[in-house]
Amino acid sequence: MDYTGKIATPRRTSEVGGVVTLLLTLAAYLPGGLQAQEGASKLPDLSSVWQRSARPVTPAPEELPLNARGIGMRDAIDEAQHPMYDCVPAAIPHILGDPYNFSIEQQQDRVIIRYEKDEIARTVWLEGHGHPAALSSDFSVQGFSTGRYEDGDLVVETTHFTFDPSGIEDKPPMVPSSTSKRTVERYSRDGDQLSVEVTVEDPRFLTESVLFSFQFAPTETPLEAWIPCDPGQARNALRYMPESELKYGIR
Amino acid sequence: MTIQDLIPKGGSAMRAGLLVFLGAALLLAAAPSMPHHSFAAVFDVGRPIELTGTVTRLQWTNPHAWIHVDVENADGNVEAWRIELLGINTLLKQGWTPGVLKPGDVISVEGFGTRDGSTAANASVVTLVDTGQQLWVSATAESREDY
Repeated sequence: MDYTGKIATPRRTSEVGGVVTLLLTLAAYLPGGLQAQEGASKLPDLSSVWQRSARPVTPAPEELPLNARGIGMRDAIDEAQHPMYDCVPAAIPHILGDPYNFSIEQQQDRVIIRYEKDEIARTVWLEGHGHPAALSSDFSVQGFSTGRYEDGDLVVETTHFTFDPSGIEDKPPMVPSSTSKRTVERYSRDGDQLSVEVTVEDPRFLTESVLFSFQFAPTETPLEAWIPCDPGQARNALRYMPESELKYGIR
Repeated sequence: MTIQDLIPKGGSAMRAGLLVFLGAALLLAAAPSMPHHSFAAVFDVGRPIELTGTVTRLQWTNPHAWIHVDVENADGNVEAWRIELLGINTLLKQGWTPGVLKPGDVISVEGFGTRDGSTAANASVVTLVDTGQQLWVSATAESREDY
């Protein structure tokens, strides 16, 4: 976001209007700015490092509501060609199932979610602050996220995911997700428990949405620096897949 | 070093039962995502192992660290085993450092063998034989679910 541009705007307006615009812009930078003033009692304090506190609840693979295309894609996906064996990280919702901590940092116009594994940093643009619109160039593994505070929760919507061979189910038989995948994450804090519910939609492969649930507790332990994934080591496991189970006979 | 054997060959019924139980727990708990690859695609919960050997190398890498161990089999031949652990960050939280294992250290390992039957395994428990110190423990249903 280019706030420099916003601050420069008053130069092209009347003096009074310029001062008002400048003050409003500056107010947005103050701790607990305008949005906080509008609903201060409903803004949750999510800023912490979080560690998993309970077993995730995920849909049973055999109960995934796949359409005909989804079934066909599931049957075609080959574990051995998955990009994770080339160090490509997981995305929502599966990244939350990894046994590594993550942090949430709440800023005025955005929320930064950092994952210890692979040192992923997601930017969640908060609505009402003039965030940039998603472009076709924003398609990525983690997608493009916007968020809002709603009933004391943080709600994050993400689109613009690239095709992911395990975007819906990450265990064999994997189920991919398409570029139409859309996720809605709801972060609800109750004392020292953080509940994250992730609804996954993908009309290209699913007949209806599916729900993933995760529980976390705060920890004082800071995120550890992540030594970059070693591509050679990432492919190591492939050596031990039985020849008979390589779907296309290629390791 | 003496291999304490793959469970089907030489383990006690009680220990074999325990490992089978852990395997069953893994199957039941296998719903969540795992740290890197799919456990079930590579390792076999029906192939619990227990072995003792001499460390030749610790690969301090992500997404998984690996211990290389020389293990003497029942025929007296030395087999080179590779033991998969989780990533470095998880090891650090259990007090590991790159120097926690040195070549020549003798360790015992409990875990699950690969699906292709090769001399590699995923570790549930790693113990330093000289001191009895458990360096790595992930043999509960809760932690096994990560795989």
